[in-house]
Amino acid sequence: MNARRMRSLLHRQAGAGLPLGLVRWAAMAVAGLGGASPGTAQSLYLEVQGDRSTFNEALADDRLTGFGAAGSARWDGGTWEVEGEVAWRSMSPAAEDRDGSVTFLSGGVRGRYAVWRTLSVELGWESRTADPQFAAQDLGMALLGLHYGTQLTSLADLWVRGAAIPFSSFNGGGEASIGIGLGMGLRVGPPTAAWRAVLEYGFRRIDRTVRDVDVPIQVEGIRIGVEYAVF
Amino acid sequence: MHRTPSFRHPAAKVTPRPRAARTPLILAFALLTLALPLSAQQNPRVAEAQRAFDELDYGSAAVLAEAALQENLSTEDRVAAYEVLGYTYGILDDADRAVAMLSQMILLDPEREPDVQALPPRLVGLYNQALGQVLVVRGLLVDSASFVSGEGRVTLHYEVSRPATAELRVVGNGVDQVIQSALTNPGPARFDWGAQLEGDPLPPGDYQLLVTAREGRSEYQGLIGFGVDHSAVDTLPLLTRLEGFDRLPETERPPRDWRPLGITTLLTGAVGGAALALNNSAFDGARLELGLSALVGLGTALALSLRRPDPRPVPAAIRYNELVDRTLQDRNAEIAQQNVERRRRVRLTIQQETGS
Repeated sequence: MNARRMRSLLHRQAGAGLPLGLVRWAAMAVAGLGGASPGTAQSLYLEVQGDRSTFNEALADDRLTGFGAAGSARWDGGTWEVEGEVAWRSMSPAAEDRDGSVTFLSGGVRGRYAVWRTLSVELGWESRTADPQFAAQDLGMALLGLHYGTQLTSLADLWVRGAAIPFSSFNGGGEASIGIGLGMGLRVGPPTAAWRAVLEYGFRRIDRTVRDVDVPIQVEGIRIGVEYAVF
Repeated sequence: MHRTPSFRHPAAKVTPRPRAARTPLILAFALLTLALPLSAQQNPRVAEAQRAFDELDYGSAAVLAEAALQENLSTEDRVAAYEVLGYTYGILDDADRAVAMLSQMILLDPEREPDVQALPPRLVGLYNQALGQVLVVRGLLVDSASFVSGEGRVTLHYEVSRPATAELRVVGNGVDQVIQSALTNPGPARFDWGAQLEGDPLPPGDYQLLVTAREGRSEYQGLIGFGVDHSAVDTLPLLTRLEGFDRLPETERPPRDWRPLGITTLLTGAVGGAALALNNSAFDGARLELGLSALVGLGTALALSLRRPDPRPVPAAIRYNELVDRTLQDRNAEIAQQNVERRRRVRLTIQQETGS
């Protein structure tokens, strides 16, 4: 049993007595429909995070920065792992002479398949909408990459990911070559507790062009929150 | 020690012999330094005979001692008179009468022996000759002993003067039991006795050991008193540890581990370096999120590395302790079983009565 499996079991035990039975049973039902093999330890984690992001588009002077909140759910079925997230961000121009804040709603889903120990192939889709419309690009992107996690001690896990963005879409039109996505994260908490602190960092670079004019997009963010093991 | 000589069958048959005409000068010279032991006799004739013997006036000593024996003497006086007569006749070279008188003395007091340092060997030889002619029991002794009934023995010492059947009997406190009967040669003998009667320990109390020597129709009996006490047998304490096999700590704290910091530095450096390298040149500027992530990540990893690692179990020590515990448990079970047996037993303390 590897470290991640051990932690999953510990978290499952820790969260079993908490009043989230409905969520737990619903998640287990979904996991069962998803085809998890009998006897495989499964865990479901819910995360709530605060978010601080920087959004660059076209020019450095148009940089937007702001804070937001995110929530995610992660199902760990052993070889398979699936997570989905939603986020809300309110961002403002970094330059003092610019006005107008933009609100982003984003969501994403990722699936991972362990190919060797804790090294997984990861496939995901992320999308984002801006309000007001056209204040920033609405984005959609597909990611394909690798995810690697390791247990630092019995108290902490560390993971990193690197992905290519082979496909992306924009509501303002244009096209992009293959983009890059990077990320890393740290989970820290007592081994028998259901709650753990989570730190995540994400970086996306998409070299968008519109009629041969470079309009690059680069997103960078940090999230700090807590994770709860439902089972 | 009490002696009760029996006079029912005197063993010595003494035949008088004509007195020797002269006393060897050399023997008389040797006896210049001879003095018979003074006893507590009160009879004046015996005292005079003793004094005449000491002054080498053997004729007077014999006459006075013979006259004293016609009187009603105490046992001690009678023993002293026979002793004077025996050694006087020996000096006067009348061996038969000497042996006869010494035999009478031995019958009255078997423990009375000649002083081999002071008496000439000839007189000692006469004493031994007399001892071989009478049947007496002497040298009775009960060794002090303390032992668990059934696991020890007490040694009884005795001596017969002639080959005889010696019967050892314990009497007293409602007990009258023959514990040994065997043909015994002259000289010191001993018998190791378990102090049990039909498998049960001898009850506490005062007893007498009667040793009866029988040879034909001759019989002589000696006795000695001894006491028996009972006490509980000490039980064995249960063990709390096995000597030389102390329990080992079942957990050990591993040494400080810098792996968390190393891995975090490596992976954070890789991601951070890639994020910096892949940064679009159009968006140069502060990288707050990257810096903050790296700072928090490395700080956390440093704290994890500096933290004292949690103790981890040592399987070999756990198995060893289980073995020690099981052995200790088995040993204590054995001790408990032994203690049950010991509580059923009794410790006997046997001691010869003071002044016996």
